[in-house]
Amino acid sequence: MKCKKTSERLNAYLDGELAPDEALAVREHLRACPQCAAELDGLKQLNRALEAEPGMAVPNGFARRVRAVAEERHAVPVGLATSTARLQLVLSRIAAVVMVAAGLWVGGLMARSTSQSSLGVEPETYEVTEFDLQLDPLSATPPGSVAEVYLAFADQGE
Amino acid sequence: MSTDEQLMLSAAEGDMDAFEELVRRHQQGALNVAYRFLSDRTLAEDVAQEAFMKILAGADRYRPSARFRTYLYNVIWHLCIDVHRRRKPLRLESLRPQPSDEDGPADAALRDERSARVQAAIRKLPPRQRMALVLKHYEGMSYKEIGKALRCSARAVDALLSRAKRQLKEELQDAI
Repeated sequence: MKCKKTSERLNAYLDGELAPDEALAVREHLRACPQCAAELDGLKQLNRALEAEPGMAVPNGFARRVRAVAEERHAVPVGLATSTARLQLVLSRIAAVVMVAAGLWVGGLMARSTSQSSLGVEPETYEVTEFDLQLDPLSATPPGSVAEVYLAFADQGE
Repeated sequence: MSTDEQLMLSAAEGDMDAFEELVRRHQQGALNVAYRFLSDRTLAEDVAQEAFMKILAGADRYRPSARFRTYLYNVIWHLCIDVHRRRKPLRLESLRPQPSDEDGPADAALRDERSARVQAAIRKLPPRQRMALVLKHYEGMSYKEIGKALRCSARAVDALLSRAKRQLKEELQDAI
């Protein structure tokens, strides 16, 4: 392997990312080439300097805070997956169904008693007034419109 | 102990305990990757939190084709790029190493100066090279894993890292 090719592969060699035969070729070249060996040392130094850089400490309560935000944003009930919470959810759904059924049953009873108590009472009668709506909105002078009154005055004037 | 993938499946069904456990397992890595890329603790915290939110929101579509960590870092990468594009002017934060009792003042000053130069050199790298470097040197990921996180081939990661190292060596030749 030539110096140029070795130099290009040095970083991957140091990272252990070369195929065995390629790594062997680089190793053999390094044994015979002080210049490339010095380049490898430089890379090792650089890696050490990079890895000495400090990271970031996890802020206190980060995971709990993320969970709280997630629950707020996604409206996920807290601890829904715990068995107690699941049982509570099932029970509350059963209670809702029972309440609706009870409401329908009581409502049915009340309607029946109302219809029975109204027997013997004269039904109220309502007088139905029919309006003769002749307004034709598409006509140029719909009956009762300002335009019709104006034309009537105009006719009288003639 | 549940695997990350099992926790994700549970989180998808609304198990918030599983979600919190996932966050606990990966919070250090998520914060570090975002912080080393952005050099800002507040932004890093925002990005890490948002990444976990996105992961929860898409948990029902999650297919464990890669390690959870790779999936998480892919989400963080996209968020970091968004922040990087929006951020102006660049907020820089000095990452001072904790002083050691063994260090004298002169040693500490020298180390701080070197650290500041290393950070400045890293920040000058193009975003994709910088993220590849962070995932390799601080998270110890393989080229293949980095490729999955950055949606490119292992060969492309090799090229990204080689270019990054060449630039860093030039920038830091008298500092290391």
